[in-house]
Amino acid sequence: MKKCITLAASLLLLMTFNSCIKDTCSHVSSYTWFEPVYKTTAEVRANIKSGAPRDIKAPGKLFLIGNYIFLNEINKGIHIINNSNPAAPVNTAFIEIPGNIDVAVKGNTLYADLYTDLVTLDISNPLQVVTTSIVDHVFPHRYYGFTPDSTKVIYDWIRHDTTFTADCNNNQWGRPEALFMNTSDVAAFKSIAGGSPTGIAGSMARFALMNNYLYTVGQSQLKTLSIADPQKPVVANTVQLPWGIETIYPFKDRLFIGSNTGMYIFNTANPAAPVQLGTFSHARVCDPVIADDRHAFVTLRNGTTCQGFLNELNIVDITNLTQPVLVKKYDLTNPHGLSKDGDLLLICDGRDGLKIFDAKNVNQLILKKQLRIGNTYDVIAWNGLALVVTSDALVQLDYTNINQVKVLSKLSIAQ
Amino acid sequence: MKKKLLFILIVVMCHCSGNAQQTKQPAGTNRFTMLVQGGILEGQADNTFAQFQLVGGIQHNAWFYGLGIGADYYANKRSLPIFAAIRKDILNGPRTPFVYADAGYNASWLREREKVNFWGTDYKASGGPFYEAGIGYKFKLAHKMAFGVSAGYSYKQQQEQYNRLVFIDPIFPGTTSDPQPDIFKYQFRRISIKLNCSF
Repeated sequence: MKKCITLAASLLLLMTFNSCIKDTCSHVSSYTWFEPVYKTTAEVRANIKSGAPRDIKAPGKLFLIGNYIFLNEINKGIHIINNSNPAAPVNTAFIEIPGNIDVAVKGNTLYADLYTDLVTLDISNPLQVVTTSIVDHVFPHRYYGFTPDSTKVIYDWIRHDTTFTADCNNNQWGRPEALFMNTSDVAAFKSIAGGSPTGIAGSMARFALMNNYLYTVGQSQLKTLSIADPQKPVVANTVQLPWGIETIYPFKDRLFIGSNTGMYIFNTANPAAPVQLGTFSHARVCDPVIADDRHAFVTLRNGTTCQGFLNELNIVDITNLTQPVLVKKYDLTNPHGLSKDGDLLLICDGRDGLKIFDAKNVNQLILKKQLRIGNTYDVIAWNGLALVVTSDALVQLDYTNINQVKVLSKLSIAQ
Repeated sequence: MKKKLLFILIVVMCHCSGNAQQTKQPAGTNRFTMLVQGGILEGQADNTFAQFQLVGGIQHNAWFYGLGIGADYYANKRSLPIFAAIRKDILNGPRTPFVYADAGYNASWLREREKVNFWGTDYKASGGPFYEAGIGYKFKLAHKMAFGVSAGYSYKQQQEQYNRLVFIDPIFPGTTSDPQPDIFKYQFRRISIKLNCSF
């Protein structure tokens, strides 16, 4: 009996210790940080030329012109893909441009960003491109603050994967000098454009070409560059915008600018100095936009970077450009880039693949086809040919017969 | 850990089985017994939370061996403990103190509102080990029924995880990588107070 009482007393004593009834929650998270590797500016600029083709690893924005696809490799440069036969595209060459994420082509001139600078290339012979001009500090938002002096450029990033454990209520994200990002299903933003002499921009683009002007958006700026002399762009105008600008889409004499809180419509009656006409506001989410004569199509999606909780398509009546009005919302899974060809609306819906809608009646979109071709990020639809960037391939589709969409080719992304 | 739990379960089941086969022995030595328990869990969480348990097993003289299942509502992370139970009456007679110990697996049983907020995919919740030990006092009634009260120390684990959905802003240098999960590991240590009825 004495033993029992001793045991009971010991147990109760144990329970009285506060630490014994402490709850804990630990958050195990993985992240990736990138250590910059530098080269001198002179070295980097001298090396901008067509080189041997490279594996596509982290595809970014895309530009289709004539028989060539110019595909951005994020922060590395541009792949040149011969697309004479869409059923068998050939990766032909690679232009090394560190810090490159945007690309646009007009005629024989290619415009690309090199971190903060704008590079202009003569691509008359895509296999022997020539640098014709470099304009400094056009994209100030691309400055990461790592460069010790102006004579150096971040040439590459060394990747470090790390896992840390923290208290659930006290996550520490501040870390020393380097660039950090959560890495999970990490994808790049894409853009596609094509045509001649001025291409069709994709919905994720930050460059837009219109007549003799190149428009670019930064995080809070709309910049106008005159390309009257295509090989020598000159900054003509800068318009300050609210923070959170993401994409730009040109249509006729209008520019549709997507931000994470809304869509801005600009008139380019005076192309050198675009003027804001109207705004359509929405919740804080990522939102590429495209437009036609009567409607703007805005996809809203969530995600850590995008924040927000929406995943939907907003169709906005832009008949009155100064007062855009929401017509209808459609729920989607995780929509990204979109494109329109006639009455067909193509939407990259994340893991749900590519969805093709009949958008003749915007009040009643009809899903005509859903292609489960992996995680889809951006699409450009042009003349029955769709170029779709997915998580593991650049896919070309023939949708001339909507009831029998055919996969023409898949250019694999190296894993 | 799973292998250890399985081993404990097998040992208890063998005991139960062995004891059940001994029912041919003199009456009163072995008896199938059900134990219904309900009570509260007190820990660091702001509120007091309820728990319920149902245990079936063999009463062999002063010893009880059983298998149980429960519902645990602690800290708005509902779970379903599945466990082996053992208890021993200290005295012979109608009133007796007892000691008990439970061990098993705490299966996650989260309601939608209890799940961690996340932007991502592939959400899943999983359980972890569960154990409890304590003391009690039992009042035996007629017809082999008994009521009791117990107090003990309870520990359980749970885990939630998902893959983050991150789409890198175009101004950032990008790369691709395999999805990497965010994992939330919970460890709950509580005082467990229960009323029980056995028959």
